[in-house]
Amino acid sequence: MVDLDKLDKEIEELLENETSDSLTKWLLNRRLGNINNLIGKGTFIGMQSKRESVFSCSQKANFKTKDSYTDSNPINRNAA
Amino acid sequence: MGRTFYHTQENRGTDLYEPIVCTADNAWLGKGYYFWENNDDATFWGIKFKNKTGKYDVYKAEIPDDNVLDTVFNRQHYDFWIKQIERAAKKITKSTGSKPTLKEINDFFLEKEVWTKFDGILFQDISQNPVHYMVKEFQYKKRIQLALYNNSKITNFVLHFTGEC
Repeated sequence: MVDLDKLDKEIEELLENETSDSLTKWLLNRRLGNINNLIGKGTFIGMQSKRESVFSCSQKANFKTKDSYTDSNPINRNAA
Repeated sequence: MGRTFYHTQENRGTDLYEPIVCTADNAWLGKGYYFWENNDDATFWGIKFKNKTGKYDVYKAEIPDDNVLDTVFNRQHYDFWIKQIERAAKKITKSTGSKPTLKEINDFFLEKEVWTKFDGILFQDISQNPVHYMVKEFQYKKRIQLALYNNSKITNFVLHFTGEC
């Protein structure tokens, strides 16, 4: 049978040697291990919204002009 | 000669010649071969949780308990086990800011080859099966399981019976 007193000391030493970093890595790996297998290991980078000319829209809506296209009576439209 | 323990599995048409290792998330003593000490609990487990094929198998085996951490009947072992679980929980919580589960602590000790110094751990909880109790509204009987880490200790592993769900 295992010597419990000796094992108790070994466990004490084992836990003393664990750092905050080592235990956090271990716990995260256990809890997110499957996700890491899926997406790979690496650093997460926050996605920032960047406005660039190629994606920006220079056309401005002109609601007043658009309303003027309609040939229906504004009163009837409200009733509908 | 060891004690008799019972192992429950779904019936899939062929007999097992060795137990199946359990890696499930609810296997809270970590990866191991799980056995019931009581035939009634093995049967209940089959009916309740191993019922997908309509039948379940209960196997029995002889397992010596001379190198098992007996947290059920041995006071010294129980105190030792509680001390290590609480010590690890405290350290992990303080270091990571997150409370570990019991399974995580036991897996930690398995990975660090602490629990593997034992052939297995005997532990208990309370059965949910009302049929096997002789008194009203009180679960007085321990439900005892053995999580075995060293499968070389198993002898006479044979099919005990097949039940229908």
